[in-house]
Amino acid sequence: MKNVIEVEHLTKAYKDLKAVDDLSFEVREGEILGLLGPNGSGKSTTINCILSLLNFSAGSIRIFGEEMKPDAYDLKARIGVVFQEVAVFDELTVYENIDYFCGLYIADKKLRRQYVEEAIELVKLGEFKKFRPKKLSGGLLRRLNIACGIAHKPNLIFLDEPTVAVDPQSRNHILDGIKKLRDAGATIVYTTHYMEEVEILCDRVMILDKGKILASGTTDELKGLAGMEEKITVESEEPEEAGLAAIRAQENVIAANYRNGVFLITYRKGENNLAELIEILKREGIRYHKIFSERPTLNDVFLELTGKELRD
Amino acid sequence: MTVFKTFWRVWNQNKLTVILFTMILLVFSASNMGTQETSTSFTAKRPDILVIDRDGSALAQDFTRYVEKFADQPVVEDSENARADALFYNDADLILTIPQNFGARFLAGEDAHIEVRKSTNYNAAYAEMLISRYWETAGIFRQSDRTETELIAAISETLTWESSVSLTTELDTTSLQKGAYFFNFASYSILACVIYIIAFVLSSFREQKIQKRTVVSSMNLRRHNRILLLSNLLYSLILWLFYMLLSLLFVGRAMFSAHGAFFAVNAFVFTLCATTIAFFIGTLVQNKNAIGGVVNVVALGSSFLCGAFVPAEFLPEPVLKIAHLLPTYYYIHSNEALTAVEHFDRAALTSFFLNCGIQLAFAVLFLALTNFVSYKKRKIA
Repeated sequence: MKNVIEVEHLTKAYKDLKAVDDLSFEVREGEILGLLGPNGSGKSTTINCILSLLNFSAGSIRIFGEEMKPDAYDLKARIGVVFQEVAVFDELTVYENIDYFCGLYIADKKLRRQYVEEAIELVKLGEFKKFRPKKLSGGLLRRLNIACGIAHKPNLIFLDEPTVAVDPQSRNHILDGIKKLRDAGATIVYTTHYMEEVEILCDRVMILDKGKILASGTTDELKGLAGMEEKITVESEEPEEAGLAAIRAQENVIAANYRNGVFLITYRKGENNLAELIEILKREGIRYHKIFSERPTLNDVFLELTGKELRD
Repeated sequence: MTVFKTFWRVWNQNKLTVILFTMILLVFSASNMGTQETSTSFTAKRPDILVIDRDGSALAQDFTRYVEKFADQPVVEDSENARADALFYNDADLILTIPQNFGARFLAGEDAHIEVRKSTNYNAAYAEMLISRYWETAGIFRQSDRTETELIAAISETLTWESSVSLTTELDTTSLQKGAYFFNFASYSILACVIYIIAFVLSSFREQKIQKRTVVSSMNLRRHNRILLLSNLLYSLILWLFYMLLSLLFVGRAMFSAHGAFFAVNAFVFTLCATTIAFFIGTLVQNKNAIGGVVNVVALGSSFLCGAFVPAEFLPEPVLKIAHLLPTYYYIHSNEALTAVEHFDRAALTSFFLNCGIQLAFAVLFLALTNFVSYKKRKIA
């Protein structure tokens, strides 16, 4: 599979602060790469450098095998960008906005009309075509923002936190739309700090913090870095010391902590742990209201790698 | 084309502003039309003079005939109260009482006086001047020992010399005054319409997030900005043409004369200058809500200071000194000067083109400032 983006030793410094620190990675054709990291981790700076919106201090960036420069208009014609901020004209209708931004790439009127209609269909804004942005809800605005960025049918799409502050219905529309773009053959770089979205959408994930890549791989590969395979949460009354000791003595337990009515137990391996735990709880007479088991999340991976939560 | 089309789509959302400022111009110009005088000839005013002749001499009678030639005789009752009322209510401007034996005493060279009572208006002063003229002439001829009849004949002959007053200028001063009023007031409307629309459109296109989208697109940014610039210039040109059409309504055929052409050229240069001011403000002010306020300060302020609403001769000296720092002053100065230019000789043309040159210099200054602010903003971004 060809590489669509190749970034080598990218560094962007603001005086003494390195916003991006010696970053090297590639994005393969047709994949969705998730850039995951807390605010200020360097996700947007990396994208801005790739798009030539920012000068960088060192390194090189190649897109579709060619060096990316501010005047590389042929390359830019194949790229679509959806910024985090909704960037539309308040004075234009939904249709006119998409038409304008599409028009920056596509001169042919007939083709543009077709593309605009398809973009409207993709983000499901058909009934709002004649609405001005001020009359749209936050979710609809986000969908318009996406349509403006992808209407010209780019091969490479950058989506910078497109679902921030969006209602669940719009979020589903947006995620469905992104999947359709991938299915149509587009390569997508998706930045977010919502782990669930990354798990649903991304073929590969890169976790960034303080301008550096902490880890990258598929979600399963990353979860392997968490050092655990299962996490069981028990809502219960506070156990006696003996009961607690019995739980901690269970095979494969890494840690068992009780705080504010919730027992959190992590395991090295993920088989039969739940059944054994329920038996111990019965035997020790510990009464519980709820009990559930889950696989480690990317947040657990992030916690493991940095010692802090992803949304800190 | 997409940038051009979007420019007009954004303009369309703000067209009410253009209509509003144009309506203001139309209303004020229309109201001014009613107040302009249309006199093209000179006619001497006839004061109201009541002569009470208690003498009856030939000299007194001749004086009465002289007065009747240039004044009307009001009908006033023969009572002291009625005469006082006539003066108070301006029914009579002057009441002259020729006392008994006045003629004989005058001819004898004695101290003879006519009693004069006058109202306080301008006509009384004018009438008094004409009466002095008679008695000064009589005084001169009395010294050469003439008889009463000879004296009367000499006075009559002298006073029949009249100066005929005719207006030598061929200027259609009324139309030119209307033209100056229309174009002076138009400075406000042009500034407001140009600055508001261009600053608004520029702030839309240059909003940082929109600009970012434009920069990452495959359209060359310079080409994009060039189309935007041309769209703005086209809008200014259309506005100027529209105002020239409106000027035909108020100034009429005079717009097809040389004076009209100079008014139009002056307005064109001013519109160009206003466009560069709009570029500067559009680059400086990014907040769309603030643009209305800025337009009011700039357009209304400069129009007031430079004499668009109140003629410059009524403005205090310090205000006029400040006005010299604004392009509107030179535009209005040219309009006013055009109303008095009979022939476009070298002096008139030099003065006109000097004022145009100063306006263009302001335009260059504002373009330089716009570039400077853009450069600084890009650097900060």
